[in-house]
Amino acid sequence: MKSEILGIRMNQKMKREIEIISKILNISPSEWVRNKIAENIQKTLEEMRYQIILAYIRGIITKDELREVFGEMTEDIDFIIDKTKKDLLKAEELAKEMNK
Amino acid sequence: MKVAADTGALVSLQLCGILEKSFEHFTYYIGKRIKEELEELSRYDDEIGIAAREVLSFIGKGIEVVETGEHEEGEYEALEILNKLNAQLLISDDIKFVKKLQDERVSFSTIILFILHKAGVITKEDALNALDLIFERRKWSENLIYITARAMLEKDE
Repeated sequence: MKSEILGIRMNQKMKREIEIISKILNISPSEWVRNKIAENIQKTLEEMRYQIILAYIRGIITKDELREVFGEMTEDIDFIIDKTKKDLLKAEELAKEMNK
Repeated sequence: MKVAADTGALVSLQLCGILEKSFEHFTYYIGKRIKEELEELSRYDDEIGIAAREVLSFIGKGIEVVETGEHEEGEYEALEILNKLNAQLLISDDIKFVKKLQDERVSFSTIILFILHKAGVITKEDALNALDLIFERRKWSENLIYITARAMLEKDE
């Protein structure tokens, strides 16, 4: 996978703590930080799934961005959005019928 | 209003406490296979199992069992019922099934909440709360339906 560099400024204490942890775990400090960031991104995305779909419905994020998070589920999400729009219109008609 | 329903849809409506309230306006029709699926689920003591038992207790009180042919999957039994009874709706929360059929009479269970809201039977807040309840109690893949319904209903004027 193509990689890019992200510089992070941190205080000395934090840097030293990372060095101690990575020494105990026998991995490099940068590998430990990378793993922690990856775990946190996954957790945040899990927690934000509702907001992500909401952002997509509102046009704040694109279909390609949605696909980066949801992968193959993207087509299902598009189908559900389209079907739910139609269901809302249909519900209006059926509600009128019900109230006659 | 006649509604053919599959197992998942009935369980979802029961999970949010709307099923019984909706009997005044809807009669749900199921067949032998769906009844069996509900009985299988009802053996578990989790929220889904309890909801399935409650759904079964409504047979004859808003849910009717009709004769159908043999079906391996409840969704296809519901489809037979839809056509046989000329029902107005088939509700199913099986995304693949609904997607495959592309039939405007086939909807997710959330349409029941939309209709009740649009007819003034429940408020928009009631419908949103019901969706939250299903969301809390369902698996993530199924939750795509309720998340989307919630977002769209929130936006709906």
